[in-house]
Amino acid sequence: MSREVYHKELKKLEKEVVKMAGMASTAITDSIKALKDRDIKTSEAIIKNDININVMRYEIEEKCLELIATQQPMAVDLRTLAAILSVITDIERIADHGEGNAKISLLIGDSPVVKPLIDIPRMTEIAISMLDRCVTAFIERDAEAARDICAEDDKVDELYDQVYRELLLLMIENPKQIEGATYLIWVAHNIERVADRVTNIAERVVFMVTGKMEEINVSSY
Amino acid sequence: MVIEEKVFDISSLNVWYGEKQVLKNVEMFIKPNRVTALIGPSGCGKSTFIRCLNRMNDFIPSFRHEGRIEYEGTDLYSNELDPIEIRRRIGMVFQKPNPFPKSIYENIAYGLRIFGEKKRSVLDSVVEDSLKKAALWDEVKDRLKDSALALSGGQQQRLCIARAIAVKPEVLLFDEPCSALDPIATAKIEDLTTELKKDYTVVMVTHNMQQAARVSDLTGFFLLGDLVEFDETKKIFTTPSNKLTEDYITGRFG
Repeated sequence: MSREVYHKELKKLEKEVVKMAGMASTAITDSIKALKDRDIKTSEAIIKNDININVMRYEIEEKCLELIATQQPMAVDLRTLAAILSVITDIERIADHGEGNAKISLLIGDSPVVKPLIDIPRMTEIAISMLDRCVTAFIERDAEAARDICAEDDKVDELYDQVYRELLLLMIENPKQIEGATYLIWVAHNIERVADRVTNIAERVVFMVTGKMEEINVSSY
Repeated sequence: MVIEEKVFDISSLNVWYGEKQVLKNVEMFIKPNRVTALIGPSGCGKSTFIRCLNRMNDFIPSFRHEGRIEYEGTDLYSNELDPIEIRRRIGMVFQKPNPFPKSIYENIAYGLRIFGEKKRSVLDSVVEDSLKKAALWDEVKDRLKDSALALSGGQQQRLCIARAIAVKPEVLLFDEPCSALDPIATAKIEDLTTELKKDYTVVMVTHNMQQAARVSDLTGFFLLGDLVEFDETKKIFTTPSNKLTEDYITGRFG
């Protein structure tokens, strides 16, 4: 009764999730780079490409429902499908944050950014590294790695605090820069949310492996 | 798993057919008014196990067992209990419907007649009551005198359930009751099983894992004579504790 065709389908679906996460990861990284380089073309491309990520999410969701309906998955297979349904929502939202950053970049337009971007790219680097390793933990069924990743959310929160304080000071000192500074706070907040969503994904990985729902790390935001 | 009461309490049960050991040190219990499903690949011992519960294996000459099966606190295999009386209290329904070549009415009344019941009014009411409980009454009430063999397979199986119910048992043992039935008849038996547990304790052997997941409260997984895992059904099918159980129910072997 070894069900090879069905398990191949499940593996294929997991690969699609990895591909989607890769697209979201690229959207975030590129959105910050484009913001820093004032590269409007790339920002526009990110906004356009977000539709593909949304479509992919629906396709994966549909495939999950199809497998549930036709294969009656049990135990770890059932938990994997439940996890995928939840994880793709978070990945899709992560990609939306990338799209959000790209839109902010368009709003800033030709003006220079109000301060050199140093901490925001650092936040981004950590958040994206968390995401990439979380996807690896998902594929490798590594609950321990997933739990460890959640702890790193604190680092992103700390950097966000720092960026927020600096931008507030900037606004107090120079009210003309309130608009430009607000844009950057939005961007920083988007990245902070990315890391939060990675912890959601990590929680699903733990659930998939152990069958236990755990709230691993509560973000300060 | 919370254990309140036990209808059966099985400890260190070993069973052999001749030289071949088919059950190994099985520890299990059966809760009242619950459906307990037994799953596992062919030859795992699940049918042998269920047949131990009403001493059906007594008929097999090479059958030998060690260990203890307590039924309502008494050793099921002690001389104090009459096997005939045991099989009245612990009814059984088999894989293939096996009605007697008699009328629908007589199939149900037969057991009562054997136990000496002659009053027509009592027989009538038990026949009606049993057929109602087996969800068959509406389909056959106008043709109780017809041969039971004219019924469809699904109806015959419900008739067998009604026949088992008629002698007022406490436990119903189902040995793959749906494996010879179509999906609609299967769904009827499954719904009926859920109804029956209000009045009876049900133990069911099934090859259909989804069926076990749908109708049972507790599930035991047998493999090569071992009871690998026994737990609440929702636990077995979402987060089984044993890797072997997981591999079996997800179709990674078997």
